[in-house]
Amino acid sequence: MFYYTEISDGTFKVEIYDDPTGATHIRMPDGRERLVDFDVALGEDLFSLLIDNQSHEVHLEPGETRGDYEVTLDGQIYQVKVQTERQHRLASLAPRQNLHTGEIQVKAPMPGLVTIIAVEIGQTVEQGQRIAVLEAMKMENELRAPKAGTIKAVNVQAGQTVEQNKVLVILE
Amino acid sequence: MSKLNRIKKVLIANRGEIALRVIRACRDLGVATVAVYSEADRHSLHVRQADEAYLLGPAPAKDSYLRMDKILEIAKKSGANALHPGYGFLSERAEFARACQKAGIIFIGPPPEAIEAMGDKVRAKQVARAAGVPLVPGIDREAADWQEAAAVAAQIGYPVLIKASAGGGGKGMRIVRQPDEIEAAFGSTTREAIGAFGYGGVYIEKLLEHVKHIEIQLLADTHGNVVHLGERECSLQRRNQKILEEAPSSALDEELRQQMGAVAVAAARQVGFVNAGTIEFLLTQDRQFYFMEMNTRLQVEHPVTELITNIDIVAEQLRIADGQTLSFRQEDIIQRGWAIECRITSEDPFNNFLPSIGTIRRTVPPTGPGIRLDSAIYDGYEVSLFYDPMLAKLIAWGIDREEAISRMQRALKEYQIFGIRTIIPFHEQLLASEPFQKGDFYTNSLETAPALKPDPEARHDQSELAAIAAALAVYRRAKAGPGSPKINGNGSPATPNSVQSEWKEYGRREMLRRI
Repeated sequence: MFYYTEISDGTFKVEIYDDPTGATHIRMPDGRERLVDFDVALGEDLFSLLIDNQSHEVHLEPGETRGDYEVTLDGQIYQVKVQTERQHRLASLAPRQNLHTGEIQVKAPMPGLVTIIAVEIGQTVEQGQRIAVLEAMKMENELRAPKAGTIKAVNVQAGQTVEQNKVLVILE
Repeated sequence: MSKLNRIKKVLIANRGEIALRVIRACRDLGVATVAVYSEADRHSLHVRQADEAYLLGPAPAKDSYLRMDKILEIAKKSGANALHPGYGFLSERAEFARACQKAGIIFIGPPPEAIEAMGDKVRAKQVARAAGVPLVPGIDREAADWQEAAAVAAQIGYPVLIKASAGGGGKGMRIVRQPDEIEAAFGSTTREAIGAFGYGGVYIEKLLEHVKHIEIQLLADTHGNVVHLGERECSLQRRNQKILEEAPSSALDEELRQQMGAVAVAAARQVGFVNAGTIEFLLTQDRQFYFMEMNTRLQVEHPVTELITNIDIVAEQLRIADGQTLSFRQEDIIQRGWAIECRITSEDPFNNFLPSIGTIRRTVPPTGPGIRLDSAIYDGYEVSLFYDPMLAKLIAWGIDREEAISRMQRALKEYQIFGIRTIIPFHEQLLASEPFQKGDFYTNSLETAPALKPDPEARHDQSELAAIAAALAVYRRAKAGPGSPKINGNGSPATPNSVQSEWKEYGRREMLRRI
């Protein structure tokens, strides 16, 4: 079976197959062959991976879409998207989205309480200027303008509790 | 070891790992335990481990763990005759200690007068001065407004620290380097202090840089005996939150240790201190030390002292509150080996230490020689934003510093927490760094030393392995065959494509045909 795996910037194609003895092999894009033994360590999320007898423990958390995984390895988290050959061809047909509009959204980096909104609609701001103060886990966090611009929208008020990634202010 | 005479049942007015720590000490001493919990903590380990548990109220601390009235009501209802406040929450509220006294409940901590005197940072400085403890340049009173703060700062010279009188635990503190920053800093410190402590008074102190944070652990009984258990090195801090502590400190020798210890004991006597407490000092590179503050409670980092002195500080707190005499004198305290503690927080070191919130899917705790884990997490634990991001404390002991470091490194590698991001990779970087290994670090090092900045590049990139693992998971699923109850990409049982939707499948086939 061929799989396209997409991770950070790169996509690469690997082949996985079982030999007649039942052992699993993986062929890397550069032609390298590796012997793998991938088995459940605990539940359906913690796996033991022996790759050319090198031992690794891997945690796999399935994502929203089929084939998406959050992979944790030695304390590092990777987002991986796996597609079969057929899924890969289908995906290449989907129209690409273009989100570039010149707007910048200032989002809440974590859930918390908005204690101060320091800007109003129409105001011009410098890069680095304080936009809002968000209190979370008992700490005050200042949110600053990522670039200079004009405030196009203010979506929250001081005193409001917000979820992570809530768009607080739109900058143009 | 003597068990307790007066204390029969202890209410633990806290949550998380410290509530568990206190429950364990109570068990060791054969006394019953009562847990209190917020709605968010129904499944917490402290609730499950205690003999009894009572609901306090909604998740926010002000509606639960800070509700003195409810906690006292539960103490009465459950028949608890003693109360341990842990750290944080109500642990340094004199009025709470006093309310316990009035209700006939033994408060496992200092008398309210001592909490009051040392809790007000300005009064604490006056106490320290009276006991002959050296003080950091600054003023012994609060600044009324930012203009006064600016005047004091100009007099003692920048940089200065604005500190909340009621502050502690690193909250309510700001560094000001330039005169034009003082107005904003004064405002935000006051606001944070009102929010966190209900009191906005602040004072000004000279900021000493390139200093170490060294603290002395004290134990004092009700019979006038006060001993110190030596120092802890707590210089590695981020935004005034300690992240790694050790005992002893490589900056002290026996002479300086006894000198600082004696001064700490004198300050404790001056204020009539009883139970466990800590005096925090700043230590300069030319071995001058200055009083910073006293914490009139158990400290987060108490285990490092426990491991090198073989004294169970929480059990001692219970014995002292029980009215017993300390079973050891100053000369009986012998430090052996080296201990390091890493605070394991749900913060992402590679994203400006943003709190990581979510469900801990699975955790694999480290074990083995020299390792202690004080933890409150379990598989399925929800990390919420209501409380402190500290999940656990990992403590390593070795015969010397080198062995303690190696063991800690081994334990950090073993320790796996899945589902959220943690500070663990940063601890690994820190322990391996040259400044840490040489002991060449100060209270500002995490903010200024390039070698101590979280560096994602320094990490071994394993993206190829991660990609292989994910591909193998998909392959494994495919091999298991359609209809098998294995999880698929969206976490639900896999179903063969053919039964998902005939129409969807038809559409896909049509699209592919057009390629």
